[in-house]
Amino acid sequence: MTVWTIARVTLGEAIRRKVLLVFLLVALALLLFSVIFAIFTPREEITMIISFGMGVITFASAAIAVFGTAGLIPIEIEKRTIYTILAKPVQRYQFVLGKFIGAALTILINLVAMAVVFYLVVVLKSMRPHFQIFYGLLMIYFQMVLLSAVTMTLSVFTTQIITITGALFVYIIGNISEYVQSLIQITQTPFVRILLRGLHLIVPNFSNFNVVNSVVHPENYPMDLMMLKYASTTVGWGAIYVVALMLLAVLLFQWREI
Amino acid sequence: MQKRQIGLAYLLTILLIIPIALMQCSVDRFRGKVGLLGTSGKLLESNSALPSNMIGAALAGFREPVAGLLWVKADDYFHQGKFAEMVPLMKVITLIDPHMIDVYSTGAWHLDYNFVDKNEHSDRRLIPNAIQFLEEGVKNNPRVFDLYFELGFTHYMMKARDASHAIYWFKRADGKKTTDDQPTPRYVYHSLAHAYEMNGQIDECLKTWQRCIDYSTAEVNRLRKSGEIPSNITKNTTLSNEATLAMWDLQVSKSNYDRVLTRKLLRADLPSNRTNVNLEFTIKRIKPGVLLVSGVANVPDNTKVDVLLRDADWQERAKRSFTWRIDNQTIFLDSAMVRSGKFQAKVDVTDDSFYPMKDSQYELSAEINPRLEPEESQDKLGWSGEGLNDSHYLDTSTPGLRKARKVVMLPLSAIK
Repeated sequence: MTVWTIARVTLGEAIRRKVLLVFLLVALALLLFSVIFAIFTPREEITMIISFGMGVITFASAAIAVFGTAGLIPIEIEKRTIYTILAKPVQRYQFVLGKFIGAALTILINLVAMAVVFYLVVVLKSMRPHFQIFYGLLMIYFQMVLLSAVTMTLSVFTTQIITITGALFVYIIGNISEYVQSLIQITQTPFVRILLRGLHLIVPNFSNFNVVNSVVHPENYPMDLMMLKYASTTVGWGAIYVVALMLLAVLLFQWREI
Repeated sequence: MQKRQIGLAYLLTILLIIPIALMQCSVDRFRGKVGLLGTSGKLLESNSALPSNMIGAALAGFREPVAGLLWVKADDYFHQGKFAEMVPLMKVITLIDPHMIDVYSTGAWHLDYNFVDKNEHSDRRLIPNAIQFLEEGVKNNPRVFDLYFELGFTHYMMKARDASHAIYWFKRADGKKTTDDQPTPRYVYHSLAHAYEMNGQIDECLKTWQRCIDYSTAEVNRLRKSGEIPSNITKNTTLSNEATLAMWDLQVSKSNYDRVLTRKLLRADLPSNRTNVNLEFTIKRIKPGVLLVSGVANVPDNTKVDVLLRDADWQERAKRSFTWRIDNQTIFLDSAMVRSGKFQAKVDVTDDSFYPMKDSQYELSAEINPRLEPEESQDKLGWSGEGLNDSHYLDTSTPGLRKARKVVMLPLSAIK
């Protein structure tokens, strides 16, 4: 119950924050204008609109996940409001979990707002349903929850600026993990191969959730059993990663002197 | 939290690394199986000299827009005549978005047709590269028919003039859908029938046309029942696209079936009434690098004679230069028309960039291949040379095909 109360308060605060609102409004404007951008390219318009829209939503959601989560704990410490919270019968782990769930809900609400506009633009433009978009959006959401967990873990022991920088760095590294995989294949030195392999397996591989290609070109990626296995394994992997990160965040916060 | 709980939590956090790593291996495996793995890595490896902002945008999830913008750039190069710059750019586009079908088909078409010497002869050394590019496209887009058809029609049938490979690719296109989820277009089956005819498989050709007739008859009947095709069609009747297409398909299939069947009957006695083609030619060097090939052949007017000059060890060279490096190979092909029993072709290999002439010996041949001839010539020679004979140069090296082919070996000094 305490966790849920903190989550609700966090969500309410996030909705009132102007920075996040700006990200959302810019994204919504870009989604509406994607119809105009599409005419600048020679390809089928709807392909461009879907691709561009998915890109905008990923970008905006990543910004909301990082900026929305990074300040949740450091600001409470900075403003000393954390003392009044922890003075009540609230455990530190409940505080961290409540903040994280609040961040996840914030991302969800923003993503739903963008998804509604995006889907309307696509359907009105093509006059037919595009169900694969929902699969893409769901994967974006799980990706952002993981990014939020990374940000939360960093935020419990560093400042807000370092958290934002660190989270964005991890996000970029995690998105080019496929390149690390290619490097493993071409590297000759066994030690470097082991090192890269370890890096690929341990660093949060955000590109696991990148299914934009299958959303844009459904003719090449049927939603069959294999795709379902892939999606469920990825979500399962993400869930375990989030649990591990939250455990780490709770432990670090427990250890931190306030 | 108590100390014991904290200790357990630390242990659990460390232990969770194991399922995370194991599941990442599974995700990699599944990602490979569904076809989502690979392109980002290849893009960074490609050393493509792409602006870093474009690579960044592509990796950040804006792949299709970046590919679209590069496609505009490639089109710009085309209009400026910069074909050499265009080809590597198209390769990069397919790395960014491996599902941009137009890029594969247009890129391969450029390689086949647009690299021409001063006399407008296309560079035939690039045909294997065009085919390789399209095969890569097929691998990346296995569920849509387009590139199977492109390989069969534009490349094997029209350019390489290899009907047996064209048949293979048309058959593979059969049953594949279009990008907007429509069934395989009817022209794929028409092309398959034409390819069978080109390959001398007349019974298969007739069967294929019959299949087309059966299909379109059923379609027309269905549309008649639904009222889309009225019972009385007048000049003023407006038909839907679907109805027009079904009627056109039926008409084309019927007329082709009748044509092939009639010709089969007409050509039935050709094996017992063969024409001696008596192919012969002489070579005259007009100036260094330019040869005039003049010859005679007892064939109808408009019969084509393929005059080919290539390295004596061309097969070995072709193997070595199957990549983008082609400066090792020389191949020149021209088709001369027979008029009143005579033909003449100019072999101009003065352009060093197209004809590097690295070998010491060259093979010059003139060939009459009935499978590639117009129908009037085939009426005399047969689809596969059933009516063709040549006292000196009959070539039966290809099973089921009789052609006339004279080959002369020339030293480099006789050409340059």
